[in-house]
Formats: sequence, C-alpha cells, structure tokens
Amino acid sequence: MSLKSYRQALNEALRHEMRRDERVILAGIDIGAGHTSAAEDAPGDGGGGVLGVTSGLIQEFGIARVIETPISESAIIGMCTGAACTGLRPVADLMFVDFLGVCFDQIFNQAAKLRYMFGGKVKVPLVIRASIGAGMNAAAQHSQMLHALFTHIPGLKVAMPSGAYDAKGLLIQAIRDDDPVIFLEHKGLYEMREDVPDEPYSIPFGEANVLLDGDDVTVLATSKMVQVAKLAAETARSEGIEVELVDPRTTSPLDEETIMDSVSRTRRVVIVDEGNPRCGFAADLAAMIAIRAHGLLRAPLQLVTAPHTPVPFSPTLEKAYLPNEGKICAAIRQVMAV
Amino acid sequence: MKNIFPIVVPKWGLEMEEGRLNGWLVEEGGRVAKGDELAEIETSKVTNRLESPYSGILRKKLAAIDRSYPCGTLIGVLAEPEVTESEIDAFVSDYRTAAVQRDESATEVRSEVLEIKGRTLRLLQLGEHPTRLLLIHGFGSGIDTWSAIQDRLAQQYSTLALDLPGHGGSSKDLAGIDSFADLAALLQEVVQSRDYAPMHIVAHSMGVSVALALAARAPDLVKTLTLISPAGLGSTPNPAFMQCLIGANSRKELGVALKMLFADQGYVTREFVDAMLKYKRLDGVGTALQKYASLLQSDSSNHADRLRGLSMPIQLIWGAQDEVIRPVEAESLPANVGLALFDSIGHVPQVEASSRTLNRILEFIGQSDRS
Repeated sequence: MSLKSYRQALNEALRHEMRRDERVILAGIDIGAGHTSAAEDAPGDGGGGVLGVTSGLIQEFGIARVIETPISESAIIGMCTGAACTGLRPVADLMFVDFLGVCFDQIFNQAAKLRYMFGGKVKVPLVIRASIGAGMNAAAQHSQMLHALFTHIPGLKVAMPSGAYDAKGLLIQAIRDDDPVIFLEHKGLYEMREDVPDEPYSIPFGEANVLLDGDDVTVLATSKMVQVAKLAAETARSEGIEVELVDPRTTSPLDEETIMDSVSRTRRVVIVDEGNPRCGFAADLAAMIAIRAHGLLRAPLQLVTAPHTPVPFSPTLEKAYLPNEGKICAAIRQVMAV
Repeated sequence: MKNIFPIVVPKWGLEMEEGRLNGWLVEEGGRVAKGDELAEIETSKVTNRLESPYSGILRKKLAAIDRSYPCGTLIGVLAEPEVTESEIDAFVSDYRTAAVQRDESATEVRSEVLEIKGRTLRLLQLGEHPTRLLLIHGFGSGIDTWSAIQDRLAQQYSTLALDLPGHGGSSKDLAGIDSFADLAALLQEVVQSRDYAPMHIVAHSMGVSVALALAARAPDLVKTLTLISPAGLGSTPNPAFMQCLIGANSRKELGVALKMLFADQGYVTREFVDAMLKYKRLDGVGTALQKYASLLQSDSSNHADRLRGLSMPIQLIWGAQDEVIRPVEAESLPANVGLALFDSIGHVPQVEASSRTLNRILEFIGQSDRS
C-alpha cells in the first residue's frame, strides 16, 4: 500500500489484468507512444497515450497486445467489439469522451445490443476508456462529461471513479465484466493521490461509496465533483451541518438502495453533477428520489450542475460554468434553511 | 527536576500516524492514577481510551477537542500541585523543542516481507531482548490486531507478529495449505530460519488452532501459550459470524459481522469497516477465507484432551461477552490451564481490553520465566 496517483492506479490495473489474462488487449491512438515497431525498439517510459495511462505497457506486453491504431475511433471500437465477440477482452482507449460521437453506431447498436439480440449466445467483454470533464481550458470539444448519454443505453455499464483507489478497483472489475463498460476518467483527477494497494482488487459495480457520514443532508456526486463536494462538506461542517456524501461510483448499474437509505434518513438532498442539466444524471437521480421519497423530503431538492451551454474556452467563463465549492455550499444552506 | 510528565498522542500500531482527540475524561486539576483513563482518542481504525502512563494532577490541556494531532504530540501535562505554572510552561516549551529534534532523528517502524516456500509473508519484529514472543492473529485479521499491545510487549521482549497466508500483506494463495498442521509447519520454518525459537506464543481465535498445532508438533520450541478467545478448543466459531464476514460485500453487511466482534460497538468505526472491505476486495481473499472457514469447521477435537496433552504453561484469556466463540466453563478445563475471563468484553480483548490483556501476558510470561 502506498500513495499513488489516479494515473498510476489505472496503469497498475491494466498491468495486473494483462499479466493475469492473456486475452486482455489494448487498442488506441498513441498508447504505446507512437511506436509500431517491435517492443524492443519502443522508448523508455515516456509514452502511454496523451494522458500517460498506458505508459510502459507496450514494453512489457509487446505490439500484439498493445495495439497502436490509426486515427479512426469508429475503427477502434468496431475492431474491439468484434474482438470481444470472439473471446478477447479488449480495452479501447478513446482519449476524449467527446470523440465517442463518431462511434455511436458501434457502441449503441452493436456492443450494447449484441448479447440481447443473440439471446445471450454472444458476450461483449469490452471496456472503452475515455477522459471526461472540464477545467483544463480544453474548450467545448474536449471537455464534456457525456456520462448521461451512455447511462441512457441499456446494455452498457458506466463507471466513473472519483479517486485513485476506486480507479484501480473499478477498472479491474470493468475488464473482468462480460458486458461492455464505458469507463470515464476525469482529466482533473489524474494527479490526485491516494493509498492504493499494490495487489489486484476489484470493486463490484452498483455499489455506492459513502465517503462521509452525516445526518443533516445527503450530497450525491460523481467523478471529480466528489472531491469538490468533500471540500464543501468540510465548510458545511464548520457551520454545524453534517453532510453525508454518497458517490454512486457507477451510474449504470445504480446502487439505488444506498442512495435511498441515506435520503430517507437525512430527508434533505443536494445533487452535484458536472454534466449539462437537461436529461442529465442529476435529473435522473432527482426523479428517482422524487418518486420514492415523495412527502419525506423536508426541503425541495437542489441540483448543482453545469448550465445548458457548451463548455467555454475562456478560463473565466469555464470557471463560472463549473459547479464549485461555493455553489455546493449555497445549495446545502438552501436545503437546510427550510 | 520536579515530577512533570508529558501526555502525548499515543502510537497504537504501525500504521497510526495521527490521533483525533474526541474528548478528555478528566478535568483540568483532576487527579489521576497510573492506568486511569485520561482521554478518548480516535484513530483511522479504532476509538480507544488513553490510559494515563503516570500518576499526578492533569495540570494543563494542550489540545483542542475534535482535532487531529500527529502521534507523539504533547496534548497535556501531569504534575503535582507544588509545581508552579511557570515551571509547567517551561516544560512544555522544552518538550516541544526536543520533539522537533526527535522527529528528525526518528526511524520509522516498518514491517518486512519474507519469501518462503514460494509465498510472501509480512512480518513485524519489534524489540530486541533475549526472551522471544510470537504473535499469531485470527481469522480475517492480521498483525494490526496486536497494534495496541505489541509495542508495549516489545519493551521487554523480542516480538514477532506475522500475517498468516491469505491475510494482511502476505500472499493470498493458500495452495499447499490444507490443515492447521501445514500452517504450523510453515511458522516453524519461519521461526527456525530466523533462529527465533524457543519462544512464548500469544495467539488469538483461529491463531490458537495454529499455535496448538505448532505446540503439538514442536513442543520444545514453545515455552508458554497464551490463548485469547481460542478456536480449536471445542466450540466452533459462530456460523452466523463466519457466513456474514465471508459473504458481506457492502459496508452495511460487513458492519453487522464486525459488530459481533466487540461488546462495545464503538470499536466498529467506518474506517475499521472500510479497511476490512478493502482487504476483502483483494484477489484471492474470498477463496482464502472460505478455506480457513472449512479448516475451522473440521478442527474441533475435545479441548480438555488437547490441552492436557501439552506440557508447557497455558493460560486462556476470554471476553465474557464473546459472541463469536462462546467461553468454555472454567471447570471443564484441565488443572494446568488458567482462565482469565474479562467482563463486558467481546471477542477481541487485545483491542477492547488492551491493558488488561497486556498485563495478563506480562505476568504470565514473567512467572514462567522465573520458575
């Protein structure tokens, strides 16, 4: 056990699974630092995709298992879906979730549906890794969340680790899962460090994490917003408000039980989501709570989300666009004021 | 120098780096005797009562409630009434200056990893003394279970704690281990490779099955046996506990199992449950725990016979409220075996009644060494 970054934790997960199971392969653009020659010729530790997650893997596992692809996302996903159907366990690296738009047919109509359409005779053990989130001044085409789109599709599982420990355990679980998993890594978390065991471990899907116990208000948050909400909870605590912070970890499947347990105890809810609000994940949680806890809530629930606009490039506007500690604290005070 | 004593945040184990002061149990100006409870300190694993290491009057509280401080931080001062305020202030200032220097020269206590027979075992050796002590933990536990007493035992003895295969930082694969005798053989190899025997053994719960197998196999290596909440002496562990611990995958389910371990359920903090959950998620742990459970099921020969067959001094320590392995009747024990039954204590006296457990062990080993 030692302090490891989110990036290192993800790298370890890939390494463990590739060592354990030779059916696990990787495919993506630049994941071996651009080297398509024999592994011996690959450079030291410099590579590993634009985000460095696959660093060192081509050296250990070679070009047959760490596949450098042309710049064609639909080809990557098409190839990986086919490979998964034939018994491999591919992990496709799509770099930015924004690029998944060009492979919606492969994802929505093929990967997500094949098991269902063939009456269970085929499995699609595919993982699609992609980075999400704003805050890096990467502009509107490289900063979206899009988790709600994938959560909407039956047949896909969606994991959104909010820390380094969860990142490793959830990625291992994703690779071992027999269904297609959209694995969303927040760009603003790659450097965050946590105690992460050296050994392999898996965190089951559909098991929410209760990060803080509190009786006054339930704050639901995913991905990087969990870290932001944690800061807000500390501020609230100094004002005498005890926050229960719940991270669903996977938006599909969703651990409704843990969420509803918490909500029915605190009876006050703030939902934080970096995604856009219309038909979003926050709205989805709000609907579930409104239906199942109607009459129980002591205050109207509050949503803290990005506005319904593209992510602005201007640093000032991007800052204004993102949910932050202050907005979450204001929402907490709002539900406490009733 | 008049008698002024520092009260510091204790270090209850290897991984404890800081403690949170939940509250004082004595007012400023109140008198305490050595061993009285002074304050409640919360660590990432347990909440425990800090017992006063000295006698005197609590003259000064130096720490705020609900704040965390690194281990070793001065949080209070004990002194007799004749000591003046200015003397106490001088003491505090000197102590803090010295503490900074101590910090710089401190060496960290670290566990080590031993490779043996194709597996890795995590060990923690503390203290260097002629008399040796081996600590064997129970089901699903690890060297941390001794954290409240190992460093205090290490002031008088060489102490060696290890994680059994499948536990803690040891490898999780149990291939080749099909009985407690196999585990005893492994431990024998460990202690002999380190020239560590003969030794006293302190074992807890399932560790007792291992200790008894080791004592039966190599009686010359074992000077005394302290058996805490012992398995392998007739009554099998509560099946509800075993099933719940093995089957639990969520914090909620696991909390139910872990609460059966303690009489005072305040010991089951969210950090303790989280640590257990993280352990259970490691590859191989589920299979290992299943295998241990089946070994425990088949290991329940007649306890009196088993103890009577051993010639070394033996003491049992048991919590009267142990819901995991119910205490046996003292009358059913052979005459050579002493039983210390702690009222209002559950399955883990080395955590829940650490001072009493420690004193029992010190007295017992002290007596046997003298005779």
